[in-house]
Amino acid sequence: MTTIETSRRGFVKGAALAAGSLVLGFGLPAFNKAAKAASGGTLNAWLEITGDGRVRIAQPQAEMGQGIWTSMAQMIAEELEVDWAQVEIFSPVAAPDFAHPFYGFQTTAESFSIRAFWKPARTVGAQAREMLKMAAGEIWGVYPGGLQAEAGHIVNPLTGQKAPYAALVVQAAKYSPPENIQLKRPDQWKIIGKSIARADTPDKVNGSAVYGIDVKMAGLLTAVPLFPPSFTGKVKSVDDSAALKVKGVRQVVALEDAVYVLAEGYWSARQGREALTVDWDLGEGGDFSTDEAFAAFRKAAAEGQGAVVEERGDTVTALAGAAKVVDVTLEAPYLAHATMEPMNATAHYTPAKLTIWVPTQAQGLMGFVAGAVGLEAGQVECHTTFLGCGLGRRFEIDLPIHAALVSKAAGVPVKVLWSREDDTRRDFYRPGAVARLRAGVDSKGKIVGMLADISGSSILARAVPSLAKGDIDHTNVDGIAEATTPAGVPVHRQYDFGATARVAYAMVNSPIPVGFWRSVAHSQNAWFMEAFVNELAADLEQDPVALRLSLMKSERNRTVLKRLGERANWGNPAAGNVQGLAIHEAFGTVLGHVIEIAMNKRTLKLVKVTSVVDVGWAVNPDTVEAQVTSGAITGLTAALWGEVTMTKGEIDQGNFDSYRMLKLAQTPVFDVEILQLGGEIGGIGEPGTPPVAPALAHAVFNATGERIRKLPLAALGFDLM
Amino acid sequence: MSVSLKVNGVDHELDADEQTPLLWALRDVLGLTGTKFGCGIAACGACTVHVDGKALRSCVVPIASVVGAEITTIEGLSEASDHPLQEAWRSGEVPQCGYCQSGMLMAASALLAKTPDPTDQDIDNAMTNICRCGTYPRIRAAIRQAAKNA
Ligand code: FES
Ligand code: FES
Repeated sequence: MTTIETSRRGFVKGAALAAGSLVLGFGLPAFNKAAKAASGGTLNAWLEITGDGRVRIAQPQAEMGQGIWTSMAQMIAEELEVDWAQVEIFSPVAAPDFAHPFYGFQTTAESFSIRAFWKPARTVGAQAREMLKMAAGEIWGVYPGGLQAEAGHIVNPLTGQKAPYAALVVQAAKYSPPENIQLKRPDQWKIIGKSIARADTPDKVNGSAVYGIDVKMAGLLTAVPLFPPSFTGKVKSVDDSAALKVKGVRQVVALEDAVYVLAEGYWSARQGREALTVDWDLGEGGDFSTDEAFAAFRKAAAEGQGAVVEERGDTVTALAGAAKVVDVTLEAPYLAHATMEPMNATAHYTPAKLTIWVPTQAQGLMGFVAGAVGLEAGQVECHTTFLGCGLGRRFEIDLPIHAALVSKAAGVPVKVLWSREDDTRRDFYRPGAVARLRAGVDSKGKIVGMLADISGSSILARAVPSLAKGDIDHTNVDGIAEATTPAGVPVHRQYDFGATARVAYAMVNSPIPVGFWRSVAHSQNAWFMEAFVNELAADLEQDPVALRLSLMKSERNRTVLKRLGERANWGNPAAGNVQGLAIHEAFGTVLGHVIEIAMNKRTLKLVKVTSVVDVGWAVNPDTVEAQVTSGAITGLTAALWGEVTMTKGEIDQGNFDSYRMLKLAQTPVFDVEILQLGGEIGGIGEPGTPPVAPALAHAVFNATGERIRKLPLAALGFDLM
Repeated sequence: MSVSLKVNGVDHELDADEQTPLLWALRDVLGLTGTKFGCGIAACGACTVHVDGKALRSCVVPIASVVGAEITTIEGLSEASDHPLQEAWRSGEVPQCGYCQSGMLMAASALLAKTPDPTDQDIDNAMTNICRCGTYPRIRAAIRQAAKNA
């Protein structure tokens, strides 16, 4: 069963712990004097054991399809020693106890849940288990070290005494969590590594799962926005007389950058919006176009205007003396997220407290939402619903802020709900970018250096300016440069191109807002790097697998690539088909795809995607498989059709008729092999996406001989069968 | 204005404009939120329901046009979440974010009602809904599984 916590449930918050503390960021145990030993109780913010032996696990990470509800609970349950059948998972009210161990606030981003909680979640389970043993030891008057935990019971193997956790939890909650617990070895795992059925699936096949859009409460009004044509626009004046006459419409609230019509239900609000008359001030830059942005990116990349991110040896001289220089300029378009559930947030403002119900990836940022309506950060209560996709869009807090402002102005609880067109036109887009990549080769065919000039808009200059220090944003260069940015963020490239390397980034910001899109940096940088390596292989007349094996820095990457070549039967596609290949390292994971297509003139059929991935350890292999496929389909949609353009301040795309999505009939067969090489554990929500575009472009090149240097393929006249 | 609708076997009198799309009558008036909004222009299928057994995209169906019809939503697909497709969806772990799945199940159940043993081509033709998470391979497999079990 899956539930969303409806109140604080009286959880006692732990002592304040430093953000980033790995082990004890979980809050200290609550001591509930009133609870009766036999009736179960709350152990800490994460765990409650009910009188009938159910183990309720709080799962604070956003469930947006990646299966985190289940895999997170698997990690805790493994060490806690409970039967999976006892486990019940719920979405807790946001709390500092649930701060992400790396970021220091509650968030789900960068394929970083399992990786960050890999030790902490298992530790919380193990600590709870040891505390339950201590409780049994105290009650039975024996040394707890001799007791065993088995399937939700503490057992004394000498006497045969046995007590269910429910009878021990109140006593156990009195102890401090023990430190330095030995976690189980992989060969002892019973729950981790198993394809446990997902806890959220039953509610998702009968319509009962609650998403943000489904939130209900007495007196709730639906608020639908009218936006200015440009992002820079502001409201000048509003004539709402006709709108207020529409049946069901209750109020009109003008914010600085939108006018909301509030009604009983979405349809009335939409009708009201049609009847609104608003005069806008388009603002400075209100007539900007993507063409202008790309002209600036191209110029900056061509002229090498960027700030240097990596400089090893004298690349410019090395290339000047090279027998041959491969020189490729690649472009990546802006992309919208198009989460399946249109963007929404529900808020109820009172002078004492702001309550929000929201499908969010960033509960820990809701203090800013409180601030936007004049409350303290501690005066917000955030309930997380299921997310109908996150894709990075739901890391932004623009919707909760709008909902809070509108609720405050209207004096009623409000659900802000955007249409699909609103969603596409008011996004924080995957940044458009241009990269010029060069490699020099000496007369013996040896690569002597790599030079990369990248230009595009910076996400962090907007979202977290301190991370864009020195005009270098790591999300513009990760995957291409091997360096540490001035803000101290390490970036990585899987290849070594000989003795010299130089990577520069020219930040060009514009009125087009940019944000985090599934796989962030890697969504465009893998396209640049892998498309470049495929061109290098073609120009040097080398096999793309052999060339990569010679350039890769790590044995791990070579292992994945070799296995991919074997699994996909690289070089030997089925008769009439062609293949393309790419591999990328991101979020601690190495993942490669071979995409096999059939081509008829400029019409292509996606036949098969073969993927090999190393995640170190797979907590739930079925989920890993699902995420590889899911990430690949996101990548296919983007590579085929994904492009957002702005003309004179307005976004040209709107609904799914102008922003196309892959459908079932067009979907290829997938074959995924999961390696578990046993190193650091990797993330899996995003790595399936980055290698898709370069692998597909490679296949199209192999079929047509045409160098594909721009996306989407549709803009080059290609389409799907 | 009052409009009568029969949803999941129950008659309702709705105080709503006749042009209100069925989707919003279901969600906002009757509180049946299993049927989802994705596009509002019949492009994604998240809002698919059955009208007299046929799969329809309820976001573009005015309620006036379905008076007297038998309307079935995901909440009425089965008594106890035990339609063969729901079983197959669970055993095949089809949903990811799950948002499109009500519509997918309604489209698939209309297909199986008419074509109990569909070919791949039948599945391609009937399943034109969008899943942003890309659960398509598992949807195809689960429809095949359900057809086998039925
Ligand atoms: S909401 Fe009806 S088809 Fe998309
Ligand atoms: S499961 Fe997320 S859109 Fe289909």
